[in-house]
Formats: sequence, C-alpha cells, structure tokens
Amino acid sequence: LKRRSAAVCLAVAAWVWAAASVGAQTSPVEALREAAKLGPLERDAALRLAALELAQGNAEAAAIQLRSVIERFDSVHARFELARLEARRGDNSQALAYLGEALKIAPNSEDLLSAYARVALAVDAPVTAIETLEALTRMHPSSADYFYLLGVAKFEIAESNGAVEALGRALELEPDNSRALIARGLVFNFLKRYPDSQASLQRSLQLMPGNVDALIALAEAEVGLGDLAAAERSVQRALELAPEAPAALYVVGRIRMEQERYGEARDAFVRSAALDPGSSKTHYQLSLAYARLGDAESSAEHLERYRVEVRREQARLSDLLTRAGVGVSGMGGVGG
Amino acid sequence: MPVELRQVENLPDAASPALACLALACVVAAPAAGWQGATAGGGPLREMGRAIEAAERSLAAGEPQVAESRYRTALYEGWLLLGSVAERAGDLEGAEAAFGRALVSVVENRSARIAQAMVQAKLGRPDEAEVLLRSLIAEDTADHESRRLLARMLADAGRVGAAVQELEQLHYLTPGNAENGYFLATAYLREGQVGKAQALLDELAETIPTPQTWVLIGRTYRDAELYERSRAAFGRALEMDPAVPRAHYYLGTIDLLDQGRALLDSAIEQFEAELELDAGDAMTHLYRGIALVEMRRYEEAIRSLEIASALAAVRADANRFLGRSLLALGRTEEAIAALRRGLEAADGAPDSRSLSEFEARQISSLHYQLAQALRESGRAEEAEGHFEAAKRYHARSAESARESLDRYLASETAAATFEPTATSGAEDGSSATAAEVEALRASLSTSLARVYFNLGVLETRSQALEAAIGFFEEAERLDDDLPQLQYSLGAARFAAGLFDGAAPALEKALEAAPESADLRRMLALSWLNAGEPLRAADLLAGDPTRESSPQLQYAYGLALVRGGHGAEAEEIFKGLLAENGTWPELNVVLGQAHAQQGDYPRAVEFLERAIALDPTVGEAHSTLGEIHLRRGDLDLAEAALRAELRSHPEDERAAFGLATVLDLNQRPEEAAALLRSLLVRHPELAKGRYLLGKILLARGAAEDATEQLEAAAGLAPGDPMIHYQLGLAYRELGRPEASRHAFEMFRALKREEG
Repeated sequence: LKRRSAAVCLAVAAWVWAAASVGAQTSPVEALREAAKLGPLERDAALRLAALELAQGNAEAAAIQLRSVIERFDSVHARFELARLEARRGDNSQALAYLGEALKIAPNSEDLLSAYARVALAVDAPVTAIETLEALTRMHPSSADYFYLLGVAKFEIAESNGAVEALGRALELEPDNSRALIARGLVFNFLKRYPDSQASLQRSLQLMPGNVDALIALAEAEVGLGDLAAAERSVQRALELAPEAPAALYVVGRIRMEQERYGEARDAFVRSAALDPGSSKTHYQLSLAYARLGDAESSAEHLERYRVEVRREQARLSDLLTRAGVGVSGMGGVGG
Repeated sequence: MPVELRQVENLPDAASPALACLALACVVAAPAAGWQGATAGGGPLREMGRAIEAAERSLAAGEPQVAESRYRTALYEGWLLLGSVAERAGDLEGAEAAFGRALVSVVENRSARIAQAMVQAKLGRPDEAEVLLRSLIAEDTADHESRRLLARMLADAGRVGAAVQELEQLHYLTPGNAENGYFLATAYLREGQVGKAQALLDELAETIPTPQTWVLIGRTYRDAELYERSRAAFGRALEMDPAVPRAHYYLGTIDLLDQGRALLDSAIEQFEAELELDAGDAMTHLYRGIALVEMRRYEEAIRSLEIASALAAVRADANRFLGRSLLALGRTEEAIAALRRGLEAADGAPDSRSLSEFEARQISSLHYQLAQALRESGRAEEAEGHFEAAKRYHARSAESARESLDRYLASETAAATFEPTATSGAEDGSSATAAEVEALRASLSTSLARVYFNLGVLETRSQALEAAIGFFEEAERLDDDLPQLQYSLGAARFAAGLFDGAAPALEKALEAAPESADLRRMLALSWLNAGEPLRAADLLAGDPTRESSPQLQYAYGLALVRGGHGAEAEEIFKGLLAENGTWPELNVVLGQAHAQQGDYPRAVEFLERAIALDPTVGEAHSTLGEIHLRRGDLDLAEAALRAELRSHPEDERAAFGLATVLDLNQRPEEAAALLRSLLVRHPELAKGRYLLGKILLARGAAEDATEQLEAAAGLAPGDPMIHYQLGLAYRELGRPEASRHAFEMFRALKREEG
C-alpha cells in the first residue's frame, strides 16, 4: 500500500507533465502554419510551431522556424533545439556549430555543455570533448556519465592513464555502470593490465550478459593472461552473437598464433582485415603469421601496411590536436 | 523584498494524491527570487547583481540555458567575493572553501584559480598553489599575471632562483613588455644580482623616460636597501620635474631607513616638501607625525596625525601616535579618545588568529598606552583590563612592544614584494570593521542562497528533481530562512518520493505559514509515506475539507490503518465506498489490501469492480492475475496479465508475472522470449534473470543459463534459489567445485532464512 500511494502520486505527477506535452502536440498546428504564411511569427509562437512540426516529423519545417527565431531574437534556446534537430538528422557538424554559437552566449549551461561534448565525440573531436567534459566534471562532480564520457574521450587520444582515472571516478559514483566497466576493460587491455581488465569485464558481463564488446575485450585480456581456453570460450560466444565482428576475428587469430596454428591464425586475421582494413594491429599480426608460415613477401607487405596505418593513426591524432588548437606541449593541460 | 513565490493559498484543491505535482507545479511556476537592487549602489556586489538581473531577464524571455549560465556566473562572482571577504578577515580556511566553490561554479574560472592559489600559498601549501598557477600558464604560456604570481609565490617560499627563472621566461616571451622587465629587475634585486637589475631598470627608464619612472626605480632600490642608488634615482626624477609626486616622500623614508634617528630632521624636511606638493597626503602626514613624535615635538605632530587618521589603512597607527602625543601633552581625555579609536580600527583588521608580529605589537601598544591614560585619569579598574590585554598581545610578539619609527618602516619594506605595494590609497574593504565584515558575509550568503534557490526552481521546471533538490539544499546551507525555500525543498523531495526528507522541510514551511491547509496536507502525506502514520492522522484529522475530499479521506483511512486504528479506518473506508464507489483506483487499492490479507474473494470483488469502472485502470488486471496464479488457475492468470500488458505494456511486474505463468504452463520458449525482451528494458531485474537462467538450464543451455544466473546472483546475492540453480548449472558444465560452493551458499542462505 505504501508503494502504491507513492506510485499514485508520482503517476499523477507524470500525468500532469505528460498532459502538458500532449496539449502542446494537439494545439492548432494548422492555425500556426497559416499565421506563419502571413509573416514571421512571434518568438514563442515560432518555437511552438517548430515543436509541433517536429512532433509531426516535419524536420525541415521545424528548422525553418528555429532558424527564424535565431536570426530575429538571437535565441540560445532555439540554437539548442536546432542542434538537437540536426543531430537527429545526422548532421553532427552543423549541430556542433549551433551549440558552439550558443555556448558563446551561455557558457555555463549544463544542457549546452553536455550536448556539445557528446556531439564533439560524435564528430571525432575528442580534444574539444575533453575540454568540455573537464569543465562538466568539475561543475557536476556527482554525474557518473560525464566522467564516463571523459574517459572515452581521453582514450580516443590515447591518454590511457587519464582515461582510467576518469572511468574509475565514474565507477566510484556508479559501481554498476556497465558501459564504464567495458570501457575501462578496453583501456586496461591497451595498457596490458590484463588482470584488471579481466575483473572489470567480468563484472560488466555479470550486469550485461552477452554484451559482444565486453566478450571480445575479455577474450583479449584472457589471451594476455595466457588462459587460451577461457579466451576461446569468450570469443566464440561473441562470434555466436556477432559472427562478423572484426575484433572477435582478430582475437581468434591471436589465440591461434599462441597455439602455433599459424594457418588458421592467418585466415582469421585476413577475415578481420577485410572487415576492418584500417586496423594497424591486425596487419602487424598478419605480418607475423605470414612470417611464421614462411611467406616473407606477404609478411613484408603487411608490415608495410601496418606502418602506413600507424602513421595514419598518428597523423589523425596530431590533426585532432591541431584542430583543437592544442600542440604537443599543451597535452599536459588537456590531459591533466 | 524578493519577488514572492505564488502563494501556497492559491494552490488548487490539494486534497488529492496529486498534491505533490500540484505543489511542484507551484514551485515550477514560481518567479525567480528577486535581486535586491544590488546594482544600484555600485557596491562590491555589483557584478553579482548584474548577473542575476541578466539571468532573470533570460528566464522571462524563455531562455533557460542563458538563465542557468548567468545564475552560475552570479554564483561565481558571489563565491569570489565571499572568499575575498573571508581572506581579508583572516579566515583563510573560509576563503579557501569559498574560492573552491567558485572554481566549480563556471567553466571559465581563472580568477578563482588565482585567488585559490594565493590562499593556498598563505596557508603554507605552496605546492598546491603552484599546481593551480601552472595549470593557468599551461593554458596560456604568456599569461603574465599567473606567471608573476607564481614567481612571487616561489620567492616567498624561498625559491628565489625558480622565481627568477619564471620571470626570465616571461621576459623572453614578451621582450618589449616594460612591466615584465620591471618585475624581473625586482626579482634580480631580491636575488642580489644588482647588475642585471640595473640593466633592466635602465632599459625601463629609456623606454618610458618620465620622472615617474625614476620614482618607481628609486622606490625599487629603496626596497632592496640600495639607498644610494635610490637617492640617485629620486634625484633624477626631481631634476626632470621638481614637482613629481612621491619623490620627496620616498627620500624622507630613505633618510629614516638608512640612518634612523640621525636624519630625522632631514626626513621631516622631505615630508614637508612633499606636503607642499600635496598638502592632504595622509601617508606623508603620518610619517611626518611619527617623526615629530620621535623628536618629542608633540604639539607639531598632532595636526599631521589627525589628518593621517582619516586614512583607514593606517587609522590604528595614526591614533596610536596621536594618543601618545596627547598623553605627553597632558590632554588625557583626548588621548583616551584617540587610543580608543585606534583600538576600534585595529579591531577591524585581521582577527587574532592570523595577526602578524607587527600587528600584535601595534595592538599591545594601543592597549598599554590606553591603560596608562586611563590610570592617569583615575580609572584604575578599567586600566587594569587594558594592561592585561597589552600583556596578552605582547606575549604574541617576539620583541618589545615599544613603538619605534624604524620598526614601523621596517614592517613596511618587509611587506614589499616583487610588485609595488600601494603605500597610500583609497578606502577599501580592508578598512571595514569586524561587524561590517560579518554583515557583508551574511548578505553575500543570502544572495548566494537566492541564486541557488533560483537554480533549483529552474531545474524543477525541466523536471530534473535530483538537481533541483541539490540546489535547494545548497541554498538551505547558506540561509535556511530564505522565503519559500523550505516549501520548495519539501515539495521537490515530496515529488521525488523522498518523503523522509520532505517531511522536516515541510514542517518548517508550515511553521512559517501555519494557516496553509495545502502545506498541512502535503506534510501529512509525507508523514504517511515516511512511516509516521499517526503524525499524518493528527494533521488530517482536523482538516476541514477532509470529509468532502475522497483523496484526503482515503489518506486519513490509510494513516489510521497503519497507526493501528483499524476500527476507525474501517468506518472511513465504508464511508468512502458508499460515496465513491465509482472511483476505480480506490477499488484497486482496496482489492490489493484484501489480497495482502489473503481475502481473495473480497479482493477479486473490488478488482472486478475497478475494471468494470475503468478497464484500463492500472494494476487491477495484474493484481487479479497474481491472485489467479496463487490459486493455481494459470489460464485465468495469463488472461489477466495479458490484459494488464495491453493497457500498460511497460508494466514490469505484469510482464514478469506472465513469464512465470507461461513457464508454469509448460511454454518455456514464450516465457524466455518475454523475459529477454523484459531484461533489455530492465537489466537489473534479478528475478527475471533467475527465471530465464532456470528455463535455459532446463532446456540444456547450461552455459547461457550460467551467465544469467551469475548476473542474477550479482544483483541479488541473498536469494538462495539463485545459488541453487547456479549449483545445478555448474554441475551441468562439469565444474564440481563451483557447484559445491553454490550449493553451500544456498544452504547457508536457507539457514539464515530459518
């Protein structure tokens, strides 16, 4: 009964809010459209029409209203809504631009900062995301989500220790945050801290059994620990769920290499490389497998591919930092 | 006065289970707590006031993101101010805490980092301060201010070489910057590298060839105790312009510092020459007055010391020497008045915890002289207290309390750092008395509380209750008397289902507005949900609208039942049913109550009536389904649970119930599919994972089953049946040790259950 009376109260609260939003959707959209034909609508009416258009799936019509509000009223709120709309339409770069403009006016808004960080990650601008997330984690230190995102962003620029620290903080705040556990497992693998990785990933799998990313990362950790039987079990489970996962095929190759079954290893790496040709580590392992099989020419070819991909990854990282206006000397500041 | 929130009396009839949302709606509808015109006075709160006004304008314009940002700016300004006030009052820990709050209020927090670094340095933690300043320099290598502060802090910590290095780097990065060159020169002087300093200072004089530049150079040499160079520099300044301000003043101080009493006449001449240029200069008058006192020319000293006493920064000392002069001239009562003014001024200085040796001596001397004056005027008893105080302060200083001009001057030069320090200036916050400081702190706390309150209202509007509660709690920590705060905090906690926390806040709100029936009702519901049914019943008993409000009457009945007054409650429910038999939710609750007591026939009766009244009423079908399940009527249970899910597809209880029924009805495939879909939405549902694991194990999928069961055990480690199934699963997988361990867990937990 106690549960119920609280539930009734909360349900009614939800209803009040829901009613408000339903009311918004059933308002006279046609009337507003007709009014808009006569000339630019007042700010609130234009925003309302944008919301109604969006609710009816008319994204472009909504965008027109929002742009009009931005132009005429320099509205941050409209920029925020337009950024959300653009992100939903898949144009993250445009979304980032709108959010950047909005942040110039309202630099301390959590809504804006949070959206900016997420979109920055989506457009492969991790340094921008890091700068934003460092502010967010400082201003909202009890939000595990911001620490998780910060960890992911730091890992993106290969700042693994900073990533471990941020993810650790996320897990202090939310010990059962399975996404943070998986991400931390991946970083630990990168750092070759396989026992830590195994513990983190096993915990994540307790919370989310059958998560493919966690299974693959766990298999990789188990290879690192020399427990090939466990690695085999984990990776096969992952392949049952996602037969074409290149990372899983890569781990199969690693297991076969350890088992000195070089032909099978090569086949697994070849399949993995076909699905993810930009993976430097797969080419590196392929060069090793071919070398073991006595195929010096293919080995050299993949060693070269490995070098090319490493250079490309380094160039990408350097480009990311340059685009963010951060030189190598500034890394301490970014990562700190 | 701040703009009032909508009056609680204007709430719609709150005698319903929706009281929370209505109350919350009131908070949401509340206009922001207004700013009390702080911008009008142009006082230290101006920046904060501007930010708040901008936030309120944004809020009114429907720009919540801008409003939040501006409110945060207001917090930043407010905490910075509070930190500065605390620092000036000598409360360094308080200052550090306030600057720490400023740091986390906004994105761009440079000023707070600098302020925090300075406080940390004062607290004897230069390493932490260095980290903060270096973080600023890392962001901008040409950040002049941070680098200079870092240099100063390093020098103060005895790392003069490191300080010089920082300034050299800054000078290198900004070769044409005369100011940076000057700071480097002062650092070289401190390190004893006079040649390097001279080169830079000569360069400065070439770059800015004014008499004022030479005054600055002269002052710099004076602080480095290079008196001849200093005199030469002031000579150059006076050659260029005989009327250049401060040159004579500094020359006078050099006479005193260099030769002490031997050059008192010369010093007085210099001060008088300075006064010819600026007859009202308080600092010059002070030094002239003190020098005359040293020469026992008390009569001449008095006028200068009276003029100096107008300057708050030196008011204590001016009155000290004035008192001494008056006492020497036998003008005892005037001396007493002057010395009292001196003590009053000293009282507004940093508190006794952080008094410097000089300040302790100063206060000791004031008390001592006042005691002497009082004794001379025959007030021996009062004098005794001041003698005691003089002793107390005297004990704090390592040296004699006897005042002397050279010591006074020494204290001034000892305070000189790489940066020029103002030796005269306008009134500032440091001149405030302790009472004024306390008043400013209280005012700032209230202003900050209002900002937090408004942020709470803003978060409530965007339904972020947790954040809203956080802001209201911050406001409460700063000023728990803020109008409407307790009401808003209570309502927000109520709406978030945090009844234990809601009740005390609402109780305080009710104390402030005892006539508010709505508050009384919300408080009653809080007590009811917080496990204090009799307090709820007490509040509801006297509610004049209770009998006409089925919701209130229902809550009252519930409170009576829980409080052990079943008979009275029965009457209430009978009455409710008689008058509100068509209220579907009431019938559901009564059905559930009967089901809990095992009275299934009555329960079914109420539930069926509820469904007849509203076929989609929540929990009626699912409760019926559970009853059918308990009775073993699986087909009826399935039908009822499916009916619930048709109306409420997200109902996790109904979905799990249906999966259980399907499994019992030998349809494990359907049950497993339903559970998998349920677990996607509710991965934390231990009993769902348990049932899925059990089904998978029965189908021979031991590995998959183990995954689910291990997850279930992680979520609900105290459930013995999960460990039992895990034992079976491990056995299937050929893991005897794990299996044995799981069975042992099962048995241990069973034993615990008794």
